[in-house]
Amino acid sequence: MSPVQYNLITAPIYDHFFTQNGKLLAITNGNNVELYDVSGPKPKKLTVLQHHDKPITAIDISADGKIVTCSQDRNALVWEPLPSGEYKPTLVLLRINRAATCVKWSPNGLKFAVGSGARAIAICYFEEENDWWISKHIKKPIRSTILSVDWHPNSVLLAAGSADGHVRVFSTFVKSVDAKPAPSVWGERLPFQTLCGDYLTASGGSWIHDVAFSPSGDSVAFVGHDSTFGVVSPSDDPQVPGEFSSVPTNFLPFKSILFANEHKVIAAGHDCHPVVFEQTGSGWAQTAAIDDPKTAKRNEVHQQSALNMFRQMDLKGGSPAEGSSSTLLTIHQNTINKLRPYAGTGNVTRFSSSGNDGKVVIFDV
Amino acid sequence: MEDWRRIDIDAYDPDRGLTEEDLRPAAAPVTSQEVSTKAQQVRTLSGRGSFGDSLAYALTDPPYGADEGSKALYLSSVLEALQGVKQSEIPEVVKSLDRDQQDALIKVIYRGMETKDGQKQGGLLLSWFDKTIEVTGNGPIVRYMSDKRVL
Repeated sequence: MSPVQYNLITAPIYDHFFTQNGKLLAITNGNNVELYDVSGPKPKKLTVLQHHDKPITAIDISADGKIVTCSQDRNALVWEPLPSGEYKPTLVLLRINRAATCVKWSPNGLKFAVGSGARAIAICYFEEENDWWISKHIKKPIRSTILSVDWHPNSVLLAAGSADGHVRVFSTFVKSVDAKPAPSVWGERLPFQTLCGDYLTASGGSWIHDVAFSPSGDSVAFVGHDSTFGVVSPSDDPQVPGEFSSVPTNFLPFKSILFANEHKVIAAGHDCHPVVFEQTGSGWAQTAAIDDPKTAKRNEVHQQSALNMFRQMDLKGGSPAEGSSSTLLTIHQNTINKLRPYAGTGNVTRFSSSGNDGKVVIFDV
Repeated sequence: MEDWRRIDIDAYDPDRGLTEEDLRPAAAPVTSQEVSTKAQQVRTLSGRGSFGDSLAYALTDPPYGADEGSKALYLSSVLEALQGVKQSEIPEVVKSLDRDQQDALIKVIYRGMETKDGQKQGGLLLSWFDKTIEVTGNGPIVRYMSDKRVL
């Protein structure tokens, strides 16, 4: 299937998601979240979630349909759907003194984690007694802004990528919410804030833009600002050292990653098109590119109108060189900020992306 | 409180701030002795006219942990090797290097541009830079900018 694209707004989309059946699309637009009905031929704006007073940096939806948003105004909001189709916001006090940067629901939907510029991760859960969302902080040994978080399938372990270059795995065990997790490669006894893994690349650590647990939860993939893609997998035997592989690439840095399955990862970022990494016998390697500009044909060149030419001269102070154009050969015309699975359970067959160009695109793997 | 944005709120944070040491990676210390041996070896290889080997040798395990004086010595030996290669042979030499060596090459070129000696060879460095990037793509530039191990 050819990629489906939605041109929604003329501002960056930092995050987006489709609801389970793919009929509803939510995007961030400045201080608001906009919900679109995409079941028809044209996206129709349904409602706007309006309550933050600084740009929203991330959104996520839980399995039971609750939306969480976090923003540069240092707050998070949980939006519960009402039967009328409206959403009721509840403020979650994160107690941070810097912007919130990323948010993720745990797979069981009972907790969510918010990364922030305050060198802390806030783990939030609902306390029935007080009828209020509580946040607990993970602070040590984080030395800089948290740029990304991702949950282990057991809803207890959390991976975090930070601007200090470390990829860390923490336990977020909360007694009143969680059952004791089964032992895994990451450890057995896991009180809150246990550091179960801490990895730093040889270069001394560039910003880690995104982290992701594999579907089994036994390894963590990450992408850094040094254009590398890496995977860490600890071993359950303390005598055997775990595996740490990092693949430098010749692309511009990646901003987001997504496990298609245990041995296949999709990454996208400043190069405006997704690429695929696969685990082969000898480790991880980049094997394919999706929407590759090298194979794309530029077909609009011939249609350059006189108007367009004069507009180019006006904008850039010269006539455009032969064969060049102001558009990129990729579908996305600017950095891709977020990848999310769209279809396929166990093995993702389609995924969606949103970028700074205000587009949401659905690609085939 | 007109200019509340200027208040240093971090001053009130008990565990504030990253020191420069926190950000510096643990590059293994290299003695000036080792660096001068390496530079000598690079010069010997260049002297024999095998500039490709000389560069490959020089760009393997660059002395990140050395002191400034040794780094300057190392740099001048690599610059000499760069000068030796004919313009038309640059792409082949770059292709014969592995990815880590290519990354190190870009670091050397950038570092060379900062020094007086390198600036005299500005044209040479630019053409090396141009031809390296043609072979490798943007990766080494991004890694030069984000890598904390400097030459």
